[in-house]
Amino acid sequence: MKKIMKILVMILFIIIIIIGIVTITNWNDINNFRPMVSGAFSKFMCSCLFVEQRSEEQCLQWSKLDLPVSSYSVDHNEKSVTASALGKTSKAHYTNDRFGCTLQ
Amino acid sequence: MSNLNRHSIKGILVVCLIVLFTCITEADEQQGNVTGTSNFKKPATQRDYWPTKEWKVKKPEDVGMNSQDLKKMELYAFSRLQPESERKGIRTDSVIIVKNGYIVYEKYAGEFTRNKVHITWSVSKSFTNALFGIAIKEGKLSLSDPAWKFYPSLNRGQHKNITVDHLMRMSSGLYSNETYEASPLKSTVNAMLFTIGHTDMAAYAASQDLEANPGEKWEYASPTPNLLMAMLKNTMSAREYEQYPWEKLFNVIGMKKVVWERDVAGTFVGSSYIFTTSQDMARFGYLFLNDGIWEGKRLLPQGWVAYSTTIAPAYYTTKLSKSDMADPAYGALWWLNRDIPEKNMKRAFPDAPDDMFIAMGHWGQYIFIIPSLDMVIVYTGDNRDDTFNINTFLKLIIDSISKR
Repeated sequence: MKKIMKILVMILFIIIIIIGIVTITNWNDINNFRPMVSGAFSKFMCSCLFVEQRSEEQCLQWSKLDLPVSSYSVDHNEKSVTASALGKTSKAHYTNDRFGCTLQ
Repeated sequence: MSNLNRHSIKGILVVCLIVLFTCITEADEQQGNVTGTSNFKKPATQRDYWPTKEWKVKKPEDVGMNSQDLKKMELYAFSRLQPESERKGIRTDSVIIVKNGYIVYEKYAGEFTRNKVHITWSVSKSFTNALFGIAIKEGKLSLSDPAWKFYPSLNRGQHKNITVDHLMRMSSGLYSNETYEASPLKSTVNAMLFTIGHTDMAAYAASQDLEANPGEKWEYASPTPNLLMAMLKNTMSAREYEQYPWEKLFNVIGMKKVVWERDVAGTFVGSSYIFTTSQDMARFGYLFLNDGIWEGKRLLPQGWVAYSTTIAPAYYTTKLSKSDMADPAYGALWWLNRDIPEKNMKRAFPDAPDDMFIAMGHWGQYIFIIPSLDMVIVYTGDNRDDTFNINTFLKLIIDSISKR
Protein backbone atom coordinates (compact mmCIF):
# COMPACT_ATOMS: atom_id res chain seq x y z
CA MET A 1 0.00 0.00 0.00
CA LYS A 2 2.82 2.31 1.00
CA LYS A 3 4.61 1.47 -2.23
CA ILE A 4 1.52 2.35 -4.33
CA MET A 5 1.18 5.65 -2.47
CA LYS A 6 4.83 6.39 -3.12
CA ILE A 7 4.38 5.75 -6.85
CA LEU A 8 1.23 7.91 -6.98
CA VAL A 9 3.01 10.77 -5.23
CA MET A 10 5.90 10.44 -7.68
CA ILE A 11 3.52 10.51 -10.67
CA LEU A 12 1.75 13.55 -9.23
CA PHE A 13 5.08 15.26 -8.66
CA ILE A 14 6.17 14.56 -12.27
CA ILE A 15 2.83 15.89 -13.61
CA ILE A 16 3.21 19.08 -11.56
CA ILE A 17 6.78 19.51 -12.82
CA ILE A 18 5.65 19.01 -16.47
CA ILE A 19 2.77 21.50 -16.07
CA GLY A 20 5.20 23.95 -14.47
CA ILE A 21 7.71 23.62 -17.32
CA VAL A 22 4.99 23.98 -19.99
CA THR A 23 3.58 27.03 -18.18
CA ILE A 24 6.98 28.70 -17.80
CA THR A 25 8.05 28.05 -21.41
CA ASN A 26 4.69 29.29 -22.73
CA TRP A 27 4.20 32.06 -20.19
CA ASN A 28 4.15 34.84 -22.77
CA ASP A 29 1.59 33.05 -24.93
CA ILE A 30 -0.58 32.20 -21.90
CA ASN A 31 -0.46 35.75 -20.61
CA ASN A 32 -1.21 37.17 -24.05
CA PHE A 33 -4.07 34.71 -24.44
CA ARG A 34 -5.91 35.77 -21.28
CA PRO A 35 -7.91 38.64 -22.88
CA MET A 36 -8.79 36.38 -25.84
CA VAL A 37 -12.07 35.04 -24.46
CA SER A 38 -13.47 38.36 -23.20
CA GLY A 39 -12.20 40.16 -26.33
CA ALA A 40 -13.66 37.71 -28.81
CA PHE A 41 -16.96 37.37 -26.95
CA SER A 42 -17.57 41.10 -26.56
CA LYS A 43 -16.67 41.74 -30.22
CA PHE A 44 -18.80 38.84 -31.48
CA MET A 45 -21.79 39.93 -29.41
CA CYS A 46 -21.46 43.60 -30.38
CA SER A 47 -21.35 42.86 -34.12
CA CYS A 48 -24.07 40.23 -33.91
CA LEU A 49 -26.46 42.51 -31.99
CA PHE A 50 -25.78 45.93 -33.48
CA VAL A 51 -24.43 45.16 -36.98
CA GLU A 52 -26.30 42.00 -37.94
CA GLN A 53 -29.23 43.03 -35.72
CA ARG A 54 -29.99 39.52 -34.56
CA SER A 55 -31.74 38.58 -31.33
CA GLU A 56 -29.75 38.34 -28.11
CA GLU A 57 -30.61 34.66 -27.87
CA GLN A 58 -29.20 33.94 -31.33
CA CYS A 59 -26.16 36.10 -30.66
CA LEU A 60 -25.38 34.24 -27.46
CA GLN A 61 -25.46 30.97 -29.40
CA TRP A 62 -23.28 32.39 -32.15
CA SER A 63 -20.76 34.05 -29.80
CA LYS A 64 -20.31 31.11 -27.44
CA LEU A 65 -16.67 30.06 -27.09
CA ASP A 66 -15.06 26.88 -25.81
CA LEU A 67 -14.06 28.76 -22.66
CA PRO A 68 -17.04 30.54 -21.06
CA VAL A 69 -17.13 34.19 -19.98
CA SER A 70 -17.66 34.80 -16.26
CA SER A 71 -19.99 37.73 -16.96
CA TYR A 72 -21.18 40.02 -19.74
CA SER A 73 -23.44 43.01 -20.10
CA VAL A 74 -25.08 44.73 -23.06
CA ASP A 75 -25.60 48.48 -22.96
CA HIS A 76 -28.32 49.14 -25.53
CA ASN A 77 -28.15 52.92 -25.08
CA GLU A 78 -24.42 53.13 -25.62
CA LYS A 79 -24.50 50.16 -28.02
CA SER A 80 -21.65 48.33 -26.38
CA VAL A 81 -20.90 44.91 -24.94
CA THR A 82 -18.59 44.30 -21.96
CA ALA A 83 -17.41 40.81 -21.06
CA SER A 84 -15.09 39.29 -18.45
CA ALA A 85 -13.17 36.02 -18.53
CA LEU A 86 -9.89 34.64 -17.16
CA GLY A 87 -9.52 37.75 -15.01
CA LYS A 88 -9.67 40.15 -17.96
CA THR A 89 -12.43 42.50 -19.08
CA SER A 90 -13.00 43.69 -22.66
CA LYS A 91 -15.44 46.08 -24.27
CA ALA A 92 -16.62 46.38 -27.87
CA HIS A 93 -18.39 49.54 -28.92
CA TYR A 94 -20.68 50.22 -31.90
CA THR A 95 -19.70 53.35 -33.84
CA ASN A 96 -22.19 53.79 -36.68
CA ASP A 97 -23.81 51.99 -39.60
CA ARG A 98 -20.64 52.14 -41.71
CA PHE A 99 -17.96 51.22 -39.22
CA GLY A 100 -19.87 48.83 -36.95
CA CYS A 101 -18.14 47.65 -33.78
CA THR A 102 -14.56 48.07 -32.58
CA LEU A 103 -12.92 46.17 -29.78
CA GLN A 104 -11.53 48.87 -27.47
CA MET B 1 49.04 32.75 -85.37
CA SER B 2 46.45 35.14 -86.86
CA ASN B 3 44.39 32.09 -87.92
CA LEU B 4 44.64 30.77 -84.44
CA ASN B 5 43.56 34.14 -83.08
CA ARG B 6 40.64 34.23 -85.52
CA HIS B 7 39.64 30.71 -84.47
CA SER B 8 40.03 31.66 -80.81
CA ILE B 9 37.88 34.75 -81.25
CA LYS B 10 35.27 32.70 -83.14
CA GLY B 11 35.37 30.08 -80.41
CA ILE B 12 35.00 32.68 -77.68
CA LEU B 13 32.11 34.28 -79.58
CA VAL B 14 30.34 30.92 -79.95
CA VAL B 15 30.83 30.14 -76.25
CA CYS B 16 29.55 33.62 -75.35
CA LEU B 17 26.50 33.14 -77.57
CA ILE B 18 25.80 29.74 -76.03
CA VAL B 19 26.17 31.17 -72.50
CA LEU B 20 23.98 34.16 -73.43
CA PHE B 21 21.34 31.90 -74.99
CA THR B 22 21.38 29.61 -71.95
CA CYS B 23 21.01 32.59 -69.61
CA ILE B 24 18.08 33.99 -71.61
CA THR B 25 16.39 30.58 -71.73
CA GLU B 26 16.88 30.09 -67.99
CA ALA B 27 15.59 33.57 -67.29
CA ASP B 28 12.54 32.87 -69.44
CA GLU B 29 11.95 29.57 -67.70
CA GLN B 30 12.28 31.22 -64.29
CA GLN B 31 10.03 34.02 -65.45
CA GLY B 32 7.59 31.34 -66.64
CA ASN B 33 7.59 29.81 -63.19
CA VAL B 34 7.39 33.17 -61.55
CA THR B 35 4.54 34.61 -63.53
CA GLY B 36 2.41 31.49 -64.10
CA THR B 37 -0.85 31.83 -65.96
CA SER B 38 -4.45 32.62 -65.19
CA ASN B 39 -7.39 30.44 -66.25
CA PHE B 40 -9.65 33.49 -66.27
CA LYS B 41 -11.54 34.23 -69.46
CA LYS B 42 -14.31 36.79 -69.33
CA PRO B 43 -17.71 35.35 -70.36
CA ALA B 44 -18.53 36.34 -73.95
CA THR B 45 -22.15 37.23 -73.11
CA GLN B 46 -23.12 40.83 -73.83
CA ARG B 47 -24.83 42.14 -70.69
CA ASP B 48 -28.34 43.47 -71.29
CA TYR B 49 -28.44 45.21 -67.87
CA TRP B 50 -26.29 45.75 -64.78
CA PRO B 51 -27.57 44.97 -61.28
CA THR B 52 -26.54 48.35 -59.86
CA LYS B 53 -30.08 49.27 -58.84
CA GLU B 54 -31.45 45.80 -58.46
CA TRP B 55 -30.91 42.23 -59.55
CA LYS B 56 -33.28 40.90 -62.17
CA VAL B 57 -34.67 37.43 -61.68
CA LYS B 58 -35.20 34.58 -64.14
CA LYS B 59 -36.46 31.05 -63.76
CA PRO B 60 -33.69 28.46 -63.77
CA GLU B 61 -35.20 26.98 -66.95
CA ASP B 62 -34.76 30.35 -68.73
CA VAL B 63 -30.98 30.06 -68.37
CA GLY B 64 -30.69 26.34 -69.05
CA MET B 65 -30.98 25.05 -65.48
CA ASN B 66 -33.40 22.56 -64.00
CA SER B 67 -35.48 23.64 -60.97
CA GLN B 68 -36.11 20.08 -59.86
CA ASP B 69 -32.40 19.34 -59.83
CA LEU B 70 -31.77 22.53 -57.88
CA LYS B 71 -34.13 21.22 -55.21
CA LYS B 72 -31.52 18.56 -54.47
CA MET B 73 -29.04 21.31 -53.64
CA GLU B 74 -31.67 23.00 -51.47
CA LEU B 75 -32.34 19.77 -49.62
CA TYR B 76 -28.61 19.35 -49.03
CA ALA B 77 -27.85 22.91 -47.96
CA PHE B 78 -30.96 23.87 -46.00
CA SER B 79 -31.68 20.82 -43.87
CA ARG B 80 -30.67 21.68 -40.33
CA LEU B 81 -30.77 18.36 -38.58
CA GLN B 82 -29.15 19.20 -35.25
CA PRO B 83 -30.49 21.44 -32.47
CA GLU B 84 -29.33 25.08 -32.84
CA SER B 85 -27.57 25.00 -29.49
CA GLU B 86 -25.20 22.24 -30.62
CA ARG B 87 -23.91 24.17 -33.63
CA LYS B 88 -23.28 20.95 -35.52
CA GLY B 89 -23.83 19.90 -39.13
CA ILE B 90 -24.74 22.02 -42.14
CA ARG B 91 -26.03 25.42 -41.03
CA THR B 92 -26.68 27.44 -44.17
CA ASP B 93 -27.87 31.03 -43.84
CA SER B 94 -28.24 31.92 -47.52
CA VAL B 95 -27.60 30.78 -51.08
CA ILE B 96 -27.79 32.92 -54.21
CA ILE B 97 -27.10 31.67 -57.72
CA VAL B 98 -26.51 34.18 -60.51
CA LYS B 99 -26.44 32.70 -64.00
CA ASN B 100 -25.98 34.71 -67.19
CA GLY B 101 -26.46 37.89 -65.14
CA TYR B 102 -29.77 36.93 -63.52
CA ILE B 103 -30.61 35.61 -60.08
CA VAL B 104 -32.07 32.17 -60.63
CA TYR B 105 -32.05 31.00 -57.03
CA GLU B 106 -32.20 32.85 -53.72
CA LYS B 107 -33.01 31.50 -50.29
CA TYR B 108 -32.40 32.54 -46.69
CA ALA B 109 -32.63 30.70 -43.39
CA GLY B 110 -32.88 31.48 -39.69
CA GLU B 111 -32.89 35.17 -38.90
CA PHE B 112 -31.27 36.12 -42.19
CA THR B 113 -33.22 37.82 -44.97
CA ARG B 114 -32.43 39.64 -48.20
CA ASN B 115 -31.82 42.91 -46.36
CA LYS B 116 -29.76 41.63 -43.46
CA VAL B 117 -25.99 41.83 -43.46
CA HIS B 118 -23.87 38.78 -42.63
CA ILE B 119 -20.27 38.61 -41.49
CA THR B 120 -18.03 37.58 -44.39
CA TRP B 121 -14.82 36.88 -42.42
CA SER B 122 -11.96 36.29 -44.89
CA VAL B 123 -14.11 37.07 -47.91
CA SER B 124 -13.09 40.59 -46.82
CA LYS B 125 -9.59 39.86 -48.15
CA SER B 126 -10.92 39.80 -51.71
CA PHE B 127 -12.52 43.21 -51.12
CA THR B 128 -9.08 44.43 -50.02
CA ASN B 129 -7.79 43.08 -53.34
CA ALA B 130 -10.39 45.12 -55.25
CA LEU B 131 -9.57 48.33 -53.39
CA PHE B 132 -5.89 47.86 -54.21
CA GLY B 133 -6.79 47.33 -57.86
CA ILE B 134 -8.65 50.65 -57.82
CA ALA B 135 -5.87 52.47 -55.94
CA ILE B 136 -3.26 51.12 -58.36
CA LYS B 137 -5.40 52.24 -61.32
CA GLU B 138 -5.48 55.70 -59.73
CA GLY B 139 -1.69 55.66 -59.45
CA LYS B 140 -1.64 55.82 -55.66
CA LEU B 141 0.79 52.90 -55.55
CA SER B 142 2.02 49.98 -57.66
CA LEU B 143 2.51 46.27 -57.13
CA SER B 144 6.28 46.58 -57.34
CA ASP B 145 6.48 49.35 -54.73
CA PRO B 146 8.34 48.44 -51.54
CA ALA B 147 5.86 48.18 -48.67
CA TRP B 148 8.00 50.41 -46.42
CA LYS B 149 7.26 53.34 -48.73
CA PHE B 150 3.73 53.32 -47.27
CA TYR B 151 4.55 51.76 -43.90
CA PRO B 152 7.87 53.14 -42.69
CA SER B 153 8.46 50.67 -39.84
CA LEU B 154 9.11 48.03 -42.51
CA ASN B 155 12.21 49.94 -43.56
CA ARG B 156 14.53 47.61 -41.66
CA GLY B 157 16.76 44.65 -42.55
CA GLN B 158 15.25 42.20 -45.01
CA HIS B 159 11.78 43.62 -44.26
CA LYS B 160 12.57 46.46 -46.64
CA ASN B 161 12.45 43.96 -49.52
CA ILE B 162 8.74 43.23 -48.97
CA THR B 163 6.70 44.59 -51.86
CA VAL B 164 2.99 45.31 -52.29
CA ASP B 165 2.87 42.27 -54.59
CA HIS B 166 4.34 39.99 -51.89
CA LEU B 167 1.63 41.11 -49.47
CA MET B 168 -1.13 40.65 -52.04
CA ARG B 169 0.10 37.10 -52.70
CA MET B 170 0.71 36.07 -49.08
CA SER B 171 4.42 35.77 -49.78
CA SER B 172 5.89 38.47 -47.55
CA GLY B 173 7.79 36.00 -45.35
CA LEU B 174 6.34 37.65 -42.20
CA TYR B 175 5.80 35.11 -39.43
CA SER B 176 2.29 33.71 -39.30
CA ASN B 177 0.46 30.96 -37.43
CA GLU B 178 -2.97 30.89 -39.02
CA THR B 179 -4.88 28.73 -36.58
CA TYR B 180 -8.13 29.62 -34.92
CA GLU B 181 -9.72 27.26 -32.42
CA ALA B 182 -7.13 24.53 -33.10
CA SER B 183 -4.20 26.24 -31.42
CA PRO B 184 -5.52 29.37 -29.71
CA LEU B 185 -2.38 30.05 -27.66
CA LYS B 186 -0.12 30.31 -30.70
CA SER B 187 -2.56 31.72 -33.25
CA THR B 188 -1.40 34.99 -34.78
CA VAL B 189 -4.89 35.63 -36.18
CA ASN B 190 -6.48 35.39 -32.72
CA ALA B 191 -3.73 37.57 -31.25
CA MET B 192 -4.28 40.13 -33.97
CA LEU B 193 -8.07 40.25 -33.75
CA PHE B 194 -8.61 39.92 -30.01
CA THR B 195 -5.50 40.27 -27.84
CA ILE B 196 -2.08 41.88 -28.27
CA GLY B 197 -2.66 43.07 -31.84
CA HIS B 198 -6.26 44.24 -31.89
CA THR B 199 -5.77 47.97 -31.37
CA ASP B 200 -3.45 48.35 -34.37
CA MET B 201 -3.51 45.23 -36.49
CA ALA B 202 -1.14 46.56 -39.14
CA ALA B 203 1.47 47.39 -36.51
CA TYR B 204 1.11 43.84 -35.18
CA ALA B 205 1.59 42.44 -38.70
CA ALA B 206 4.62 44.63 -39.39
CA SER B 207 6.23 43.75 -36.04
CA GLN B 208 6.53 40.07 -36.95
CA ASP B 209 9.95 38.61 -37.72
CA LEU B 210 10.64 37.17 -41.13
CA GLU B 211 10.49 33.40 -41.35
CA ALA B 212 11.60 33.48 -45.01
CA ASN B 213 13.00 35.98 -47.44
CA PRO B 214 10.27 38.12 -48.98
CA GLY B 215 8.80 36.43 -52.04
CA GLU B 216 10.22 32.98 -51.27
CA LYS B 217 7.53 31.39 -49.08
CA TRP B 218 3.77 31.31 -49.47
CA GLU B 219 1.84 31.27 -46.21
CA TYR B 220 -1.74 32.30 -45.62
CA ALA B 221 -1.54 35.14 -43.13
CA SER B 222 -4.53 37.17 -42.00
CA PRO B 223 -2.45 40.06 -40.64
CA THR B 224 -1.21 40.80 -44.17
CA PRO B 225 -4.37 42.43 -45.63
CA ASN B 226 -4.56 44.67 -42.58
CA LEU B 227 -1.05 45.86 -43.28
CA LEU B 228 -2.18 46.54 -46.85
CA MET B 229 -5.19 48.53 -45.64
CA ALA B 230 -2.94 50.62 -43.35
CA MET B 231 -0.61 51.24 -46.30
CA LEU B 232 -3.59 52.40 -48.35
CA LYS B 233 -4.54 54.73 -45.50
CA ASN B 234 -1.13 56.34 -45.77
CA THR B 235 -1.67 57.26 -49.44
CA MET B 236 -4.56 59.65 -48.68
CA SER B 237 -6.16 61.89 -46.07
CA ALA B 238 -8.05 60.34 -43.15
CA ARG B 239 -11.33 61.69 -44.51
CA GLU B 240 -10.72 60.32 -48.00
CA TYR B 241 -9.78 56.92 -46.52
CA GLU B 242 -13.00 56.72 -44.50
CA GLN B 243 -15.06 57.22 -47.63
CA TYR B 244 -12.81 55.45 -50.13
CA PRO B 245 -14.36 51.93 -50.09
CA TRP B 246 -17.87 53.35 -50.52
CA GLU B 247 -17.08 56.03 -53.09
CA LYS B 248 -14.76 53.94 -55.22
CA LEU B 249 -16.30 50.48 -54.95
CA PHE B 250 -19.45 49.74 -52.95
CA ASN B 251 -21.59 52.62 -54.26
CA VAL B 252 -20.30 52.22 -57.81
CA ILE B 253 -21.50 48.63 -58.10
CA GLY B 254 -24.70 49.29 -56.16
CA MET B 255 -23.83 47.47 -52.93
CA LYS B 256 -26.64 48.71 -50.70
CA LYS B 257 -25.57 47.67 -47.23
CA VAL B 258 -21.93 47.32 -46.26
CA VAL B 259 -20.37 47.63 -42.83
CA TRP B 260 -16.59 47.59 -42.69
CA GLU B 261 -15.31 47.54 -39.14
CA ARG B 262 -12.05 49.18 -38.17
CA ASP B 263 -9.47 48.68 -35.43
CA VAL B 264 -8.76 51.34 -32.79
CA ALA B 265 -6.11 52.87 -35.09
CA GLY B 266 -8.88 53.50 -37.64
CA THR B 267 -7.65 50.95 -40.20
CA PHE B 268 -10.31 48.93 -42.01
CA VAL B 269 -9.92 45.30 -40.97
CA GLY B 270 -9.15 44.04 -44.46
CA SER B 271 -8.71 40.48 -43.27
CA SER B 272 -12.06 39.79 -41.68
CA TYR B 273 -14.64 42.44 -40.86
CA ILE B 274 -16.82 43.24 -43.86
CA PHE B 275 -20.51 42.61 -43.24
CA THR B 276 -22.86 42.77 -46.20
CA THR B 277 -25.93 41.18 -47.76
CA SER B 278 -25.79 38.11 -49.97
CA GLN B 279 -27.11 40.12 -52.93
CA ASP B 280 -24.27 42.60 -52.43
CA MET B 281 -21.74 39.76 -52.25
CA ALA B 282 -23.15 38.61 -55.59
CA ARG B 283 -22.62 42.12 -57.02
CA PHE B 284 -19.00 42.00 -55.93
CA GLY B 285 -18.55 38.57 -57.49
CA TYR B 286 -20.20 39.83 -60.67
CA LEU B 287 -17.63 42.65 -60.91
CA PHE B 288 -14.83 40.07 -61.00
CA LEU B 289 -16.78 37.78 -63.34
CA ASN B 290 -16.91 40.73 -65.75
CA ASP B 291 -13.14 41.31 -65.60
CA GLY B 292 -13.48 44.38 -63.38
CA ILE B 293 -15.87 46.17 -65.74
CA TRP B 294 -19.14 47.64 -64.44
CA GLU B 295 -21.81 49.43 -66.47
CA GLY B 296 -19.38 49.28 -69.40
CA LYS B 297 -16.66 51.17 -67.51
CA ARG B 298 -13.39 49.68 -66.34
CA LEU B 299 -13.26 49.82 -62.54
CA LEU B 300 -10.31 47.49 -61.94
CA PRO B 301 -7.13 47.79 -64.04
CA GLN B 302 -6.83 45.86 -67.28
CA GLY B 303 -5.44 42.43 -66.37
CA TRP B 304 -6.24 42.79 -62.66
CA VAL B 305 -8.56 39.78 -62.52
CA ALA B 306 -5.97 37.74 -64.45
CA TYR B 307 -3.32 38.83 -61.92
CA SER B 308 -5.62 37.95 -59.02
CA THR B 309 -6.29 34.50 -60.47
CA THR B 310 -2.68 33.64 -61.27
CA ILE B 311 -1.10 31.27 -58.77
CA ALA B 312 1.28 33.10 -56.45
CA PRO B 313 4.85 32.30 -57.60
CA ALA B 314 5.97 31.37 -54.08
CA TYR B 315 3.10 28.87 -53.89
CA TYR B 316 4.95 26.65 -56.39
CA THR B 317 8.15 26.58 -54.39
CA THR B 318 6.71 26.28 -50.88
CA LYS B 319 6.43 22.92 -49.16
CA LEU B 320 2.74 23.00 -48.29
CA SER B 321 1.23 21.51 -45.14
CA LYS B 322 -1.40 18.78 -45.38
CA SER B 323 -4.22 21.23 -44.75
CA ASP B 324 -2.83 23.68 -47.31
CA MET B 325 -2.72 20.82 -49.83
CA ALA B 326 -6.43 20.16 -49.22
CA ASP B 327 -7.31 23.82 -49.80
CA PRO B 328 -7.59 25.44 -53.22
CA ALA B 329 -4.49 27.10 -54.69
CA TYR B 330 -3.82 30.77 -54.03
CA GLY B 331 -3.65 33.82 -56.26
CA ALA B 332 -3.74 37.36 -54.92
CA LEU B 333 -6.24 37.45 -52.04
CA TRP B 334 -8.39 35.00 -54.01
CA TRP B 335 -8.46 31.18 -53.86
CA LEU B 336 -8.17 29.23 -57.11
CA ASN B 337 -9.71 25.87 -58.01
CA ARG B 338 -6.67 24.88 -60.06
CA ASP B 339 -4.89 21.66 -60.89
CA ILE B 340 -1.16 22.17 -60.30
CA PRO B 341 0.75 19.50 -62.24
CA GLU B 342 4.06 21.06 -61.11
CA LYS B 343 3.16 20.05 -57.54
CA ASN B 344 1.23 16.95 -58.51
CA MET B 345 -1.87 18.52 -56.98
CA LYS B 346 -5.45 18.13 -58.16
CA ARG B 347 -7.93 20.94 -57.73
CA ALA B 348 -9.72 21.14 -54.39
CA PHE B 349 -13.23 20.84 -55.84
CA PRO B 350 -13.00 18.31 -58.67
CA ASP B 351 -16.63 18.65 -59.79
CA ALA B 352 -16.26 22.39 -60.38
CA PRO B 353 -14.40 23.83 -63.37
CA ASP B 354 -10.73 24.74 -63.05
CA ASP B 355 -11.37 28.40 -63.86
CA MET B 356 -13.43 28.83 -60.68
CA PHE B 357 -12.02 31.29 -58.19
CA ILE B 358 -13.31 31.84 -54.71
CA ALA B 359 -13.50 34.31 -51.86
CA MET B 360 -13.59 32.11 -48.76
CA GLY B 361 -14.38 33.01 -45.16
CA HIS B 362 -14.37 31.29 -41.77
CA TRP B 363 -17.36 29.13 -40.80
CA GLY B 364 -18.62 28.90 -44.37
CA GLN B 365 -18.78 32.21 -46.25
CA TYR B 366 -18.14 31.95 -49.99
CA ILE B 367 -18.34 33.77 -53.29
CA PHE B 368 -17.74 31.25 -56.09
CA ILE B 369 -17.05 32.75 -59.52
CA ILE B 370 -17.17 30.41 -62.50
CA PRO B 371 -16.48 32.32 -65.75
CA SER B 372 -16.86 29.27 -68.02
CA LEU B 373 -20.44 28.84 -66.75
CA ASP B 374 -21.09 32.58 -66.46
CA MET B 375 -22.00 32.03 -62.81
CA VAL B 376 -21.63 33.58 -59.40
CA ILE B 377 -22.69 31.56 -56.38
CA VAL B 378 -22.92 33.10 -52.92
CA TYR B 379 -23.10 31.00 -49.78
CA THR B 380 -23.26 32.20 -46.18
CA GLY B 381 -23.54 30.00 -43.15
CA ASP B 382 -22.37 29.09 -39.70
CA ASN B 383 -20.66 25.78 -40.31
CA ARG B 384 -18.59 24.99 -37.24
CA ASP B 385 -17.55 21.50 -38.31
CA ASP B 386 -16.60 19.81 -41.60
CA THR B 387 -20.04 18.40 -42.45
CA PHE B 388 -20.71 20.86 -45.26
CA ASN B 389 -18.94 19.61 -48.36
CA ILE B 390 -18.23 22.38 -50.83
CA ASN B 391 -17.67 20.00 -53.73
CA THR B 392 -21.01 18.27 -53.14
CA PHE B 393 -22.80 21.62 -52.92
CA LEU B 394 -21.22 22.85 -56.17
CA LYS B 395 -21.80 19.55 -57.94
CA LEU B 396 -25.50 19.66 -57.14
CA ILE B 397 -25.73 23.14 -58.65
CA ILE B 398 -23.61 22.38 -61.71
CA ASP B 399 -25.51 19.13 -62.33
CA SER B 400 -28.69 21.18 -62.58
CA ILE B 401 -27.38 22.85 -65.70
CA SER B 402 -28.83 21.19 -68.78
CA LYS B 403 -26.44 19.21 -70.94
CA ARG B 404 -23.90 21.58 -72.37
